[in-house]
Parts: sequence; C-alpha cells; structure tokens
Amino acid sequence: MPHIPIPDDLPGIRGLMAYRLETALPINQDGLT
Amino acid sequence: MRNSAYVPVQENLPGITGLLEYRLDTGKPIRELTQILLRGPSTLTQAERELIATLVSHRNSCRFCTTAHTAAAELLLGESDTVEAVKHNPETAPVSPKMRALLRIAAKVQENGRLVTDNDVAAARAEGATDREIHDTVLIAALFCMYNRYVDGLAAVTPEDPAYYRTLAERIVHRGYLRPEGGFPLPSPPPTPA
Repeated sequence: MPHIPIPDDLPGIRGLMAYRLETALPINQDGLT
Repeated sequence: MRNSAYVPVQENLPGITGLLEYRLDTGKPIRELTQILLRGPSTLTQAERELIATLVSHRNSCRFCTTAHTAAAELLLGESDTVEAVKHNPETAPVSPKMRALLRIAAKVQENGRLVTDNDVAAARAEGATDREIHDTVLIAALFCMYNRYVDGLAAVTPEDPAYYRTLAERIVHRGYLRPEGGFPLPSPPPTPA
C-alpha cells in the first residue's frame, strides 16, 4: 500500500504524478515516463 | 582535482551549471522541478528543503552539491551549526521533531527507497508531517540522488574556492534555480599576445 493517498487506478509512478501535478509536469517534459 | 568534465562544458560554469547548459532541453525541466520543490510554495521552509538536499548530497559524497547546498542552507538559516549537525547526525541535530522524521525518510531514500517503512511515515505523521511534505521529502531526496550522480558521473568540475559557493548560494537563494534570462555569460577570451 502506498505511503501517501494516491488514486487506486493509477499504479506506480502514474499515481505519484497524479498526486502532485506541478512536479509531474517537468518530470514528464523530461520524457522519463 | 580534475579541471575538466567528461563532456565539453563552458569553462566558467563548473558543477551542475555547466551540465545543465550543455543540454538545455534536459536542463530546463530539471531546473523547473528543482525550482518547484525547493523554492515553490510549501509548508516546509526553504531552509528545511535545502537541509534535505544537503543531507542526501553529503551521504552520496557529492562534494559539489554538498558544498553548494550547505552554503544555501547556511545563508537561509543565518548560521552554520544546524547544517553541520544535520550532516554529522540528523538524529541529534537541532531541528524540529517533524523535520528529524522527514530527514530520516530522506536518508533512507538516499540509500534505497524500499527502506522507507510504514513506521517511518507514521512517525513523520505523528510529528505533524502532511502527505505533501512526505511526498516532497521523498522527491527532493530522489532528485538530489539524480543530481549527485549526474555531477559526479560526468566529473563536473568542483571548485575549491569557498567564495564560489557563497556566490552560487546568493544566486540560488535570491533568484532561484531557473536559468537566468538570456543565459550565462560566456567565458572571457584568452588575452591577446602583445
């Protein structure tokens, strides 16, 4: 179970991205996911 | 000490700065992520976030990042005892119980993210840490592991002069982590023979 509340239907890094969209944006720009 | 990195970078831009300029398309999102995490709105102070960056960099033995973020934390705190204590032993450092619990999580992420336990997170929550603070602590720790490996894996130049780091700290504390508008100055040309 994740340590913070993230959407059940988004496993792995995708749930973490959805949790904090501001930090997800540059990470996705980097082409990491 | 090496005086050149493994890739050609501007000679007047040591450490991470030269690497971020070497490849602007990767440098831009890295800078933006750092700006959000270390300078953006947060219930953790900027100094607390710099302490996380410093602890992780110190434990990764990245001299450039450790010295740079030590200088930034000192500038934000107005003293040097706290950051030295955090590097020496976060468990006894003069930080809040919440910060101590978050530093414990950051230290585990530095070693291996899977070492972070439910008990570590519960302990941080018991001291008042929010989910956002736990999230950002883990992401700052992960980001600086990347930075540390980026800098040392490409043998980025690490200046010896403490004045360099004081100037760098002034820039990242007062102007943040984004690329200056117009970029960085080019190196001075060599003197023309008479």
